[in-house]
Amino acid sequence: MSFEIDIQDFIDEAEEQIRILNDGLLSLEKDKTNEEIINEVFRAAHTLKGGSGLVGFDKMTELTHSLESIFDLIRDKKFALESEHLDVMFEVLDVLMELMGEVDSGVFNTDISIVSDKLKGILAQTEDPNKKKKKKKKAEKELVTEIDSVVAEGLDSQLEETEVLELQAIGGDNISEFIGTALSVEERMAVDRVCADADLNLYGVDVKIGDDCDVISLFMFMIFNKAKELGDLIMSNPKEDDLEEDEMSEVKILFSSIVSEDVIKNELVMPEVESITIKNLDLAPDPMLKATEEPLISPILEPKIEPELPVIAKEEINTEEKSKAPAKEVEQKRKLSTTIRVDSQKIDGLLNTAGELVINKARFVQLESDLEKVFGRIPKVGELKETISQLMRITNEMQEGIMQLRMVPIDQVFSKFPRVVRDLSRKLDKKINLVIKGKDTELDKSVVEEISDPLMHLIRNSVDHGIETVTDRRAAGKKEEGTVFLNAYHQGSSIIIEIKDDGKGIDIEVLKSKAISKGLIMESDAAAMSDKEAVNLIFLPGFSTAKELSDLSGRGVGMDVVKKNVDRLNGVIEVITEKGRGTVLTIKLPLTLAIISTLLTRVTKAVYAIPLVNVISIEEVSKSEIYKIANKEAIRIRNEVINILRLDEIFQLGNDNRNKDRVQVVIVGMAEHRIGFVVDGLIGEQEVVIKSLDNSLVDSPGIAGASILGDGNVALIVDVSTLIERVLQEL
Amino acid sequence: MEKDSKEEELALNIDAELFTKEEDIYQLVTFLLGEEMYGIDILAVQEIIRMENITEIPRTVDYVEGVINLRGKVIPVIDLRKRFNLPIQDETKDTRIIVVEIEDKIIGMIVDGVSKVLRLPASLVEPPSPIVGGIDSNYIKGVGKVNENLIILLDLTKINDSSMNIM
Repeated sequence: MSFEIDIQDFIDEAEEQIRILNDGLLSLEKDKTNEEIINEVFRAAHTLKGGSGLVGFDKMTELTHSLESIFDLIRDKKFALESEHLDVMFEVLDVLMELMGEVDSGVFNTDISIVSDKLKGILAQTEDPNKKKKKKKKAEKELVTEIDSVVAEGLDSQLEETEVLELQAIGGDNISEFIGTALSVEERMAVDRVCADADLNLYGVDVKIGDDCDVISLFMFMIFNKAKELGDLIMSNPKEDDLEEDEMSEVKILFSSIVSEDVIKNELVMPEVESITIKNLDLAPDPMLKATEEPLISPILEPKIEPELPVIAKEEINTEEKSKAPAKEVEQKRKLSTTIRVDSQKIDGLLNTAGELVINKARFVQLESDLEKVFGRIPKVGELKETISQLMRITNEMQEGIMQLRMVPIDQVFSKFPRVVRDLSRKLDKKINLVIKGKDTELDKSVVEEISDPLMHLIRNSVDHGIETVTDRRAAGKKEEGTVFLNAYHQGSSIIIEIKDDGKGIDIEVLKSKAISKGLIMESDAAAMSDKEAVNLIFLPGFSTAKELSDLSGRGVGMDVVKKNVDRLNGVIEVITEKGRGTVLTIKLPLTLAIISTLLTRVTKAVYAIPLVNVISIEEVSKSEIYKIANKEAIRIRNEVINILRLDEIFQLGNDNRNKDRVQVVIVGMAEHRIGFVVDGLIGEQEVVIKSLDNSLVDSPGIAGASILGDGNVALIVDVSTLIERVLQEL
Repeated sequence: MEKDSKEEELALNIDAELFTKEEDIYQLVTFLLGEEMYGIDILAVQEIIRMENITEIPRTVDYVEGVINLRGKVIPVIDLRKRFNLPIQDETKDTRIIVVEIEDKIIGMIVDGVSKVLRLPASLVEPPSPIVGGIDSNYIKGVGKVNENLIILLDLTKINDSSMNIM
């Protein structure tokens, strides 16, 4: 168990160290003698070596050991760093990343011999002070085995002590009092074992079930299952096997668990429960037990700490500069006290709970207005109103707070790009300077994960197709070095990401002829197209402007995939280009995927939510204003012809609004496309928590997800992009 | 030495006994659908709730009734009668939704009424004959007999399998 935790700690730590290595090597490329960075890289390699050694990742230890040795020599000015060495080191970094991947996938087959040999080749160029180090390593290993045996001994002595303890134990009558029956010898022994273990708590749970429960025995079964999930069941009254015979409405369970009382309460509270009492019986153990507890724990604890000792010892042996290592440790400690690492699932759980709170809040508001209708403006209703507005404020604050927890700086994505641009520009023989701005701009973690690949593609595109070669640039009278400018900033509740290059831009005429030759558009269309429309041709599936597919940007994904990804995130992508001057790609994304602002509409009896980002305007038109073009219904709004969809029709809800004189049309847009949804009524704007419909049974084209309304009913969220695409295809 | 091996044998025997004992008994939640009684594995059942407002999802197969709000979770609900091509019946006061977990997905199944939890020895369960109670034998794991009553054991994985729709 503790092994797994160690591994997770190691992975988190290692990712950080690899990032430091990466940044360090990139900086060293520009300034090969910067001592500060050399030290930083050395320390990162050293930490990685130590960590990987501890968890037994030998391959990683081997590589980082060589890296460390090289940087040790560089530090001592016994070796001069060259670009070719950096190339090898970047390769090593890639392999280290692969090795990290192994931990996740569980397939340990990465071949490190090639890079390892290259590294050793570099080492061989220098004098070889390696032997000394190897000896030290051996010494470390011996130390570890010694400690292992100490641990084993410690466990033995613990076992003996426990036996003694079992004989001594006599207390715990409050337990049999609670459970309402005498404990058998085995049960008493189990109880004592739990009391003696500092990690385990002994819980007594008393559950009473309400009358409206349908199948009491099933419910009991679930309670038992939950208890077993949470810990170890010791005993119960009535016994588990007897449950089914007599349908009891009350059960008492005694079990041990490491989780806290609150967790248990949360897990066990179900709608059928009338009352539940949870007692931590561990809190008041027999004084006799407590006295024997102390000496019992100490022999186990000591060896537990000790395995860390060799690390510290190693650090002192290896680091010549003793003063620096402790300084860094202090720094790390300071960091630890201000930040905590939390499993993102826990935050997601919290967000879900907050989502439910938001739903309840909406429910209160509705109740209040209902009450006001019945009772009028009596003082109590006014009081309720005030309380609700308080509740709303607190709920909003809490929700925002939790959303903040999920926010991470976009640097998590941006930090990958310097390396990509470096490798790519070398390969293509271009000179490119990547300028990154706004890397601290925060956005939701889920958005960061989703946007990573599309951004990578766009960056590759800029480098590959945007920036010209040095000769071309010289001929065009530009600076030899091209610039790719990456910027991120907030705008309202959106984040804007810009990718700007001063390359050759997109040639609209070439674009058009290409699209025609590929049969994507007609020649007549092309002539009528504005430049703005034409640029968007790059987003069509099957369009690629590269003369030959390079393995760099043409990895089977095109701009159409980028656009699809951005669409899926409810985002917008725009291209502005000027021939000879460069291209600007702008991506606008919502800060979060969990909550969106919507326009709630009524379609027949159902409620449909339309994402507000897509809503352009709301119009009311009379029947006579709807006309047909090529058998499709359309309306004219301010000189623009807009196709309309009747939501009741496409969602097959029965055609109610067909005969109405006036209908409401919600005009929605995506990029430059506009369509109108005919609805039966507007309910209002509301922020909703998105619940995905992740079951193929309810997978429905045109529905993006569901959400729970104030009255507890479920509203469906309209997938605007799919519906617009559908209309475009039918045209 | 001899004593040791004897003890070992004994331990093995006890293990085997426990093992077969557990293997031999089906723990079932039983419910009614028309005239027949059906049983599903108790471990798959999350809870049993009364009928509530179901939001219809457009363009789904006919036995998918829609989705419900289960304490903040949105879960799909299917009508088992429609799933098995049994005659449609109006909701009564006994109608329930059994919430089950099938292959990590949570769905609700509308049934005519829930009866009880039952332990059924495997020896009383027979493999399905081609047609039982009017539903396709593909959905059935076996048929159990308790006091002259037949209990049809359902194979839940098949119920969630949309490739079975075509039939």
